[in-house]
Amino acid sequence: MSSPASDIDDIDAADALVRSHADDIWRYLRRRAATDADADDLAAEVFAIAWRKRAHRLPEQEQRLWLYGVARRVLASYRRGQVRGVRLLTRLAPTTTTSELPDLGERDRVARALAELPDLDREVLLLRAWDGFAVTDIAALLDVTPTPCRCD
Amino acid sequence: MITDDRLDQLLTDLDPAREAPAVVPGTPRYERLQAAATGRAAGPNRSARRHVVRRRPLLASLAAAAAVALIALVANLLITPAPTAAAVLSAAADRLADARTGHIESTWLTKDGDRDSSAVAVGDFSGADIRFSYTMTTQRPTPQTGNVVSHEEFVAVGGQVWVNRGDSWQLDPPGEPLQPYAQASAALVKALADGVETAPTEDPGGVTSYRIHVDETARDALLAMKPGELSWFDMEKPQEVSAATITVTDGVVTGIRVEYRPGSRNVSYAATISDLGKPVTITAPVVASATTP
Repeated sequence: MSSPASDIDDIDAADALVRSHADDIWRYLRRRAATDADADDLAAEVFAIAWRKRAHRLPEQEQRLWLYGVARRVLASYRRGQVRGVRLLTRLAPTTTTSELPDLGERDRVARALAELPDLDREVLLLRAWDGFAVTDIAALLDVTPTPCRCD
Repeated sequence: MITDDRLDQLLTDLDPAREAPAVVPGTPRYERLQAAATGRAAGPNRSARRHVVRRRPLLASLAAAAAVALIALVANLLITPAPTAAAVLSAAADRLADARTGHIESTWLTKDGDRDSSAVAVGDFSGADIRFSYTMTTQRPTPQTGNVVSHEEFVAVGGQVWVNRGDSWQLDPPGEPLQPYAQASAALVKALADGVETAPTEDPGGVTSYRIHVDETARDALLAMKPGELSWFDMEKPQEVSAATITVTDGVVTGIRVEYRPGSRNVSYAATISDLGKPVTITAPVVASATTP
């Protein structure tokens, strides 16, 4: 049974965990989810899991990768949920498809190239470009050797 | 040729989160994450509510249950109430859940600013198997370009799902299992049933309509539904539901209308269910197998 003092310590440590990583984790999820609201829900799920698993008791240098690992799994579950069913609302959103976009120049070409990359290659590139991960951390997160992650 | 620095800049421009405000102390987004991270209540979302329920002290729950039981006992001694609208709806939902076969016609109307979209789905179910034909119409950005109309066929047999978005059937990857349509619809009605806000109205044809106000209790009940149930109504976020109308014919639910607001859009979903118990045969589509040269 935990003492009140250790409960307070836990809450303080969990507060510190969220203070250090909330922005990074939310952005990681927002970059890969459909909407801000989806990213909000997913990030809340990640930090709820972190609390249940007492991630704040991990050594500080391990917390970031641990949270990203959970975020990746939560995101995978979210995507599986999206695949099933017809997702009408997503498709009814009045958006234009990639092929309908006017040629905006370099940015458009990069967006198209990005969309055509294999999933793993795109994730490696974006973890580096958007999330600022080092090659070794990308390898650890994706559970691959560092060699295929060298993109610099 | 794009240089590395230019590529970095272009990728930064493409970042969907680049204009989002920082998630820092004092912002609602941060407060919600902090609440989730420290085991406290965290707003109307599925995970947070699960968390709150799990942490409710046992003694408090037992005391609350005992109080409710006592009140119910006294109420029963004092009055013998007629079935409530919620009880009638719940029973009508149970009869729908028992239906082995049926025909469904659903529409989704969405409005986002001055642009409208719609989808019509017509199909049949037999137990857990189902087939739907969808027609989706989306307004293009300018009137000159007209609307985009697309069609899709959807079949689920034996737990597998096939989709035809053009000229061939594709087996959908495994995902969240879909629940039988009739049972999912019944679960939806039961989740909403306590929110009946006015006396039901009955038309000359014997169809009774129940207008539902979706309050926090109903939203909690919707949140407790399985994703494979909610996906039939495209309601991954039940907290966005604002109102509903359920119609009952001959003691069975035959119509569901739900209004909700995902993001900036207003959506109205309406389904009619008919031909309950009539024979329906649903078969898996023939998928062209890959040939080797």
